Amino acid sequence: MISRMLLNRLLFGFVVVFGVITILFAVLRVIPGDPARVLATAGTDEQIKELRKTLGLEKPLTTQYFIFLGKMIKGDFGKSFYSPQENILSLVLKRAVTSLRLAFFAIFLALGIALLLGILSGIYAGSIFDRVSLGFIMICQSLPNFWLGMILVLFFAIKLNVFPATGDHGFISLILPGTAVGLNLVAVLTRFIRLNMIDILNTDYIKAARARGIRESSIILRYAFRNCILPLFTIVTVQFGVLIGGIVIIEFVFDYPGLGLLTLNAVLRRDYPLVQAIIMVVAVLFVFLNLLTDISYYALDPRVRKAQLSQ
Amino acid sequence: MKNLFKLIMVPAVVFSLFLSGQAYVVQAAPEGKVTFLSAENLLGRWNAYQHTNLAHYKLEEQVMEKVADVSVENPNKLVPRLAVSWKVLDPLTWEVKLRKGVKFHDGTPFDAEDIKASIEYGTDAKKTLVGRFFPERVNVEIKDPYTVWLKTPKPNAALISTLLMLRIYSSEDIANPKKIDEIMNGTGPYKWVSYSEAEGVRLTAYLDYWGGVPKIKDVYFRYVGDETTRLSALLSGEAQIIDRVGPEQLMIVKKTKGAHVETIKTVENHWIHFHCAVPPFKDNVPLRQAICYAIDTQTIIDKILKGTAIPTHAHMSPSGLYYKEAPNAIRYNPKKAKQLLKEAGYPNGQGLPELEFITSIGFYPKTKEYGEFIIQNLKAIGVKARLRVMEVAAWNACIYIKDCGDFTDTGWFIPLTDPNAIFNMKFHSVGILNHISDTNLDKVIEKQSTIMNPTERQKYMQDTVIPALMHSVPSFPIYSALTITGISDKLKGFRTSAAGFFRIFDCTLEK
Repeated sequence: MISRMLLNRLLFGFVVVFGVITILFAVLRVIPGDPARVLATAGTDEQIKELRKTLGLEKPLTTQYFIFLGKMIKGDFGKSFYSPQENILSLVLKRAVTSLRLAFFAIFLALGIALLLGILSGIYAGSIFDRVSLGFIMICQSLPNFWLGMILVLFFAIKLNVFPATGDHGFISLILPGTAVGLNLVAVLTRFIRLNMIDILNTDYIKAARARGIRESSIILRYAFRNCILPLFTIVTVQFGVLIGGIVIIEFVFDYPGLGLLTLNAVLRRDYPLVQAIIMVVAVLFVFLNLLTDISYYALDPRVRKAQLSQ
Repeated sequence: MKNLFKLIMVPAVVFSLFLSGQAYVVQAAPEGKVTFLSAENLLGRWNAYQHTNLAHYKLEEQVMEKVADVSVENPNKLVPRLAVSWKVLDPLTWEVKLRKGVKFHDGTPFDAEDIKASIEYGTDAKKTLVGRFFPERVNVEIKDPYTVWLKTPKPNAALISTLLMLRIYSSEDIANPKKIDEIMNGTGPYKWVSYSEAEGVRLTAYLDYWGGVPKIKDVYFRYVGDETTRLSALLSGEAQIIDRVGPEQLMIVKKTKGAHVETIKTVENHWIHFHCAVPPFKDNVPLRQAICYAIDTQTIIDKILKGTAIPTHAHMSPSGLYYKEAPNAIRYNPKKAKQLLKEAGYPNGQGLPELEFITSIGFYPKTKEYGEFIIQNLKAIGVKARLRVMEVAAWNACIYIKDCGDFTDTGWFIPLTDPNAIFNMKFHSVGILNHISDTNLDKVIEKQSTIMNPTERQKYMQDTVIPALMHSVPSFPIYSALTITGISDKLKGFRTSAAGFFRIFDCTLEK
């Protein structure tokens, strides 16, 4: 059963990736901007034509497309127009890992804060703590992450000089951009956990547990907490996608050498091979993540297993 | 015994003194690192003859040398680099004497063969982009290993000045264009170490540099597109030099300890280019003049650019050679604009289709803001115009097309103080960006470059060429941009020339 589910998901994922890169290929060549002109600004028309030939852009679009597909199947994404000596896939994967580090840091930071605030707010719903917590998450949700990033840089990097303002210098470089990205996510997760916790604490099985004399701490940790975090998988996966989108601007603000910044620069410079490679990697990553989520649900939730078996 | 003692001691003392004197001559090893953050992309391809990229010019200045350079102290003077002297032998021949004792970073000695290979390749417009700056290919005759004759088919008074566009490669490297695409091998004070997309370019001190050992060991060049991010890096101490400090950032730098700005008049003008190959600006000088008279350039400079630019009243920067305000300089005058509009056949703008003004966003400061202001200026004289703001790549593709929009806004920074190259490219048929084809302009531009006597050339430039350009106005200089660089207080000795170059070799870094 799981193998049939896997196969279906894989086939669907393949179609998604193929569709994405085909649309991207077309869109890149339709939007205004000539990569040859960006590279050789004051070139004569003949020089530009010659450069376009060197870059493989003089061929008809359909020919370019099939050449691109043929190479891609062999794992050859071509050469970046701006970094022709670097292996394009290594470059993309290296930058993807850098972004993922930032994304995971932001998620774990957000989860840590959200679990603490959400669970306590749920337990003490209506209390002063709950109100302060709601106020805090409202602020987190309202602040644009790029603005927050700039404020963090101003205070912690420039005034106090405790964290770097730009670049990647290891773990310490994750703190400011990770906080800027993560705080928006804190709001979403805290609200969700809080509401979930309130609902769960009002269920019959919790009342029954209390009636049997089980300690409140055990009820919260062994029953409520476990059921509360299960739906978090979906939320976090969905929010991961949103977070990745937000990371682009944060990487730009912090000059953090991740995939977002690479993508932005590649698009602005019309570096077709690099944009194509990036989107391909990202599409495959998303398909994989969705697959992982489905498998996790299958493994963790007996209701999902039962539903699959009965199909 | 006494004589033996003297015989031994005197030379010993003299020798010791000599050695102790030598100790003062031994230079300290270079140390420290400087990071420069550029506002413009690095191209990832290193052939110095195939681009007009400002970030590359600044990078190349550290690694590769030219025959001469514009003096930092006096923009009208050239200082020797790989050439030690030059003189005109006849109108078609320059004799250049070369510097001895110079080596490329790969150890190859520099001599006349390298000059010949570089100049003949670089000035060939069929092979190189930078060849466009030269009216014809220059032929080089080697007289001896350190003397060459530069031969041109026509007199070229600006030849040495224009050769400042050419970095000198070794003849072996010129024979291998693929190699010069991949790496820089120069004679400059810094040599190439590596490049990556994330870290940018890394250079290190070249200990055998003919001019002495650099005091700073490592130099990093990186592209950071956002001006606020560049500023943050400067103020937090992560970068020591940043490019293009914007108008709003000037006050921040001035109020913050640890950094300052250097503001220099350089050769960067900002222009409006009329598309002169198609209507309505084709063959319509009064219309072009009307648009120019309608634009309040002083308000743009004072209120929008907030003092980060200066006026220019000739088709060159005020820091360029031969600059003099045109006697027919165009200054804001809406009344005159309306009069010219009528003369152009469009009284109060009637009959003139809506014009499209193309500008960019994301590279030059405040282009959208002053673009909008210009639209309002034109509205005041009855000309309907709309602003089309494009991101840089799209704008770059558009501005070279003769019917993309009706007029466009660009900056132009060619690191030469002699205006000959700009005149040839922009205003000699067919002009780049404005597509002008005007035989009168062609004649005066061609003539000025053949006047070998500098005083006579200056007179002709100021009395004839400058007024002719201002009359025809295929492009209009809105302002001359000041080059504003952010510098760490720990970096001493930083100076930018009027050609826009700085040398980290001239700097020291405080601990």
